[in-house]
This record gives sequence, structure tokens and C-alpha cells, in this order.
Amino acid sequence: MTEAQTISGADPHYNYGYLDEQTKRMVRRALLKAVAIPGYQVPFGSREMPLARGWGTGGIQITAALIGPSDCLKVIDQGADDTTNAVSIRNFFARVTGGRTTQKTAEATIIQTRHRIPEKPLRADQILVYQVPQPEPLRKLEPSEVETRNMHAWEEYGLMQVRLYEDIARFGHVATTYAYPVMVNERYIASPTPIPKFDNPKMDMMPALQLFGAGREKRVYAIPPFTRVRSLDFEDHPFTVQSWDKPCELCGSRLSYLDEVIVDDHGARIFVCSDTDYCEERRQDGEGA
Amino acid sequence: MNAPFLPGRGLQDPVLGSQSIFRAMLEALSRPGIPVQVPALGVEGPDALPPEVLTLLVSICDHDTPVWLEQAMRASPLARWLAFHCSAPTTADPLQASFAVLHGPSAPSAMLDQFALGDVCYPERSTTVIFTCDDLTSGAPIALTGPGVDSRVAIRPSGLPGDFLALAQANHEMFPRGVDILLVAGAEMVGLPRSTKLELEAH
Repeated sequence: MTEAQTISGADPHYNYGYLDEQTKRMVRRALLKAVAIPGYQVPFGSREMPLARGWGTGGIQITAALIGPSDCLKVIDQGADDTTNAVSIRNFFARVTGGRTTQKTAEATIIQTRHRIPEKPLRADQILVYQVPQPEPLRKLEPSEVETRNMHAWEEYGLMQVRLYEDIARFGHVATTYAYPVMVNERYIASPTPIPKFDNPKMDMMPALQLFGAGREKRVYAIPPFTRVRSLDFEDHPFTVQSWDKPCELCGSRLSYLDEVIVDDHGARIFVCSDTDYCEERRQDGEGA
Repeated sequence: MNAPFLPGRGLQDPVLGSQSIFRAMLEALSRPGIPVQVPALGVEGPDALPPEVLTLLVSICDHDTPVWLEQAMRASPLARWLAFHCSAPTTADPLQASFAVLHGPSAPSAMLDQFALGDVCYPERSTTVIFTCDDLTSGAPIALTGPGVDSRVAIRPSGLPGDFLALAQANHEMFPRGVDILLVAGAEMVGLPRSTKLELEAH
């Protein structure tokens, strides 16, 4: 056995990071092109993973191509570190790399996420890896891949503005609340993945590198650090984010994204932070009720 | 009679070695203009190219990625060394190249417009050009702006062909088509993806 196969703590039955080296190189080359063309979806040879497509296989393949012994991995699902998908992906990487994992945003070097961006601002030495169910923001408007590829190639994005306008005509405002389309570097319209639109402003000029992986759809894309990310809107209907009347019931934050939670059989409900690490840290610091 | 082939040394740890090199390349291309260290992994090969460039090639190339080399290098033991250590074929056709290596100080032209530039529908089908230069600190300052650059950053590469800046600027103008460049000087490299705008900085 060579040194590479005996990294302490890693399950010796698997290659480091689970994927074979040929696959990692293929994913890595796709990622290098993705950062060079911000917002453009690069096709890649997505592999079968030991969990079903649609459960984060795109994000897992990116993380597997990135991760090394000096990394510390955090995985969140809808903001929470302690839900099934997050726990199993974290355990998976602990097993195949023997590496460190964390629930603390500040400690992580790689954060794999499903549908949230942490509340704590990310740093330049961190990488955010998104799990993407549908990478093509135009797919619901145009089912043909050939057509959507041409629309991106020639920047024919009028259809997306019409969709947002139809919302305004019908409801008086843009009714899209998650997966709200963004314009990356004033060139490609991209899907921010189903994050709430509350998180969209965090993508703009973020110091951390943002990588997106869609396993079932076989696409990766990237937003380099310090890249302009603009949520689409109209001059007379500017982009706005959600707000709540009450603070988080647990930590009292008025700045975070809140989930509605039913707490008894009589329909009583409270609003609490969706980012569990942010909420816990605030409570430990003596904030809240 | 051919001289015997000397394999030198490839990556001692192909798994973690290539991982650390990939992270350095990703860092360089996602933060254009910021010098990134090429980890020293003890790679030894033909002295036609610096060991740092050989390290990059064996970490990211394989049988799927034809590597373009100058004719003299293609005929040298370098081509066999690459085939031996990472199975990468070499090519004489710049349009077929996934990667290309231009040894800056001796290259008569930067050639950036002759490699695969991608298609407007598939802009990722373009060559990544590894360009060596003497250093990154003593040349005329070039200001960089664009994705990955925090407002503005300057690089001072020296020992590049005279047409490098003009061709790199023309390469950016073609966005989203174009090649992506890694400038390697000694143990440092700087990424210049096609998204980066380059301007000669006024003194």
C-alpha cells in the first residue's frame, strides 16, 4: 500500500474522496472552465454516487474533487446542520477522507449547501458548494436544451423578463420567492438554486468562491469571488427580499431568514432561524429570549 | 540510435498531490492576478520545461486531454515523459489541444488566437494555455479587472513575447469564447482567465 491509501481515519476500501482519480480530473477540468466563464453551465460526466440523484450528488462530486487533508467540511440542508441529508453527506466525507467536519460556519473551508447561504458572511478562504436540482433557469420557459443553449449563447433573455413581467401583471409584484434568477457578471442568467431570494444579495461580490453542481442534470457552474450578481428586476419594480414582523423566537435575530415551525396540535406556530449554527451561536452569546 | 528513456519522477502521491495542485490552479483562475504557489512535489523530468509546469501537467492531464507543445519539445523526451506519467497524448494541432505549454522567453509569438477558442454555444471547449515567464515582478505593470478581482490588481510579468498583451486583450474581447491562461514564473503562478480585462497601467 502506498502512503496515499493509508490516510488516517479514511476507510481504506475507498479511494480518498470516494471518486476515482480519472473522474476527479474530469470534474476538476470542468470546474476550471466554469470559473473562467462565470454563470455558464459546463457539462460534465456525472457519476453514479452511493445515494440517489436529486440528493446532492452534484455537490458531492464537486466536494470530492476539491477536498484535501487541510479542509474542514460543513454541510447544511435548508440552513440546518442536523437534518438527514446534511448528516449523511458529512458522515460520508468523514468516512472516505478521514478529514475534519464541523457545524460552525467560521471553522469550515468547504461548505456544501442545499438551498441556503449561511447568515455569517463568508470569507475569501472558504468555498461554497451548492447542490443544484435544476441548473437551467430557462428550463420552465423553454423545454429544449438546444434552444436554451442558443438563448445563453446569444444572450436572448427577453423571455425571462416577460415571465417576471407576467407576475407583476397578475399579482402586482414578482411572485418568485426562491430560485430567483440572477445575472452573473452582466453576461449569463443563472439559477441561484432554490435558495430563498432573501439570500440572493449575499451572492453579489461575495469574497468566497461559489461552485454549483447538478448531478442528475450533469452540469457544473461557478461564480468567482468578487463577481457582480444581480437579481433580475424592473426599474419600477425593484428587487426586494422577504421580511418578517417578528424576530426569531429563539435568538431574537431580526436579520436572519426565518422558518415557520408548528409547535403543537392546535396549530400554534413560531418563527425561528433557518440557519441553526447562526441561531445557536447567538443564544450562546446570550442573545434572545 | 535513441537515447534511453529516463522516466524521472512523477507525482509521488498521485491522489493528494494532484488535489493540492488542482486547488492551486482553481485559486489562481478564480482570483486572477493574485500569485499562487505551485506546491513543490518533487516532480523531475526533462529540463525542456520547469518542474512546476511538469507538476501542473501530470496533475490535471490524462488520456482525454491532448497537450500541445512546440515542435522541438514534441520531438524531445518530454512527450514520452508525459505519456509515461499521465498518459496524455501530445498534439501538433493547436485546435485539438486541451492544454498547451508555451515557454515564454523563447516563444516568438504568444499564439493565443491559434488555439481552440470554444464555440459560442460550448465556450468551455477551449485550450488552457500554460505560459512560462521570467518573473511576475519586474515587467511593465498590467492592471487587471473582472470577475475574481477585488476592484483592481496589477501584475508585472517579464519575459513574454512582445504580442502577449495585445493577444490577451483580444482574447478577453471574444468572451465568452477564448483561452484561459496560467502564467508560471518559478514556483508562482497567476491565472488570467478569458473573463479578465487587461490594461497597460499608465505610470
